[in-house]
Amino acid sequence: MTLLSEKAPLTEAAYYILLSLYHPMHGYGIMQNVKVMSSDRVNLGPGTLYGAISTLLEKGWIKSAGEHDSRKKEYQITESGKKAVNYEIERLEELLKNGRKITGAKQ
Amino acid sequence: MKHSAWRWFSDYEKEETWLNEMAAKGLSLYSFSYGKYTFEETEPGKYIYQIELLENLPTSPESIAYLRFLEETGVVCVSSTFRWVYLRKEADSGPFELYTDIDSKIKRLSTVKNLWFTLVGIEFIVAAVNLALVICAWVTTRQVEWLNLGCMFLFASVCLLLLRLGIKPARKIKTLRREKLICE
Repeated sequence: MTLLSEKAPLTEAAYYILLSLYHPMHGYGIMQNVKVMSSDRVNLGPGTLYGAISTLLEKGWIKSAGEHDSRKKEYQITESGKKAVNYEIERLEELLKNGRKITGAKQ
Repeated sequence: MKHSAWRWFSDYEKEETWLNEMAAKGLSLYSFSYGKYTFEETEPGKYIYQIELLENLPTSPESIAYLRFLEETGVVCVSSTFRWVYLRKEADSGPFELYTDIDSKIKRLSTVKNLWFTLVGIEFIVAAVNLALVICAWVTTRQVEWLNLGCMFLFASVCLLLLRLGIKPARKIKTLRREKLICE
């Protein structure tokens, strides 16, 4: 799973999952957190979330943070995951800057 | 009170619709085996159902980990048959959509497509072998092997049915791939 570098654009799901995991969280917690962060706009389906978590684990962008309340697995972002988020923020800033410059949309 | 019904579906989406109609009437599926659906009485519309084809058998470690994860999110597997699982979620906890982005939707549809197309291949080979036997018999003895001929038509029609089932997800995948070129 090293086909794409940390500089590749992230999907919306991956970006919000990584942001959620700056604090250790379990699957259901991530779903709720993303919903709140995006003011109900992004609803991650459990199948989509599971696939994204598996891929992020394989890439080493998140790691397991032990088991909480007996059975629930918690996850946490790693240093390379944080790097990927920072690249993404830079990329999004560039997109915003150019979009605003051309359309004249308000800041 | 428990109720049971015998049905046979080849299209899992139609089956899913039927189960959700039953659940809306207050009959919620809690077990399925070989065409026999058993329902329990619940308040109407309590559960929403989804049918999923897993990549591995439900007893494999991969599937157990996945189903356990689903449970954490309020999705319970009520029954399974081969690699198919019957999942349900309480309706008042929001809509039930397992896959919410294009990539994962394509992945799910590919699993279904691959199952049907693999079976199409097998049925096609069996039908072709039977046809070959009929031709061989005709060439050598000038006799029609009715049994092989019958088998050929049987397997050929199953092959066509499976092809129809496989084309459905294949078309959806094509549309989603096109969409993916411009949106996520």
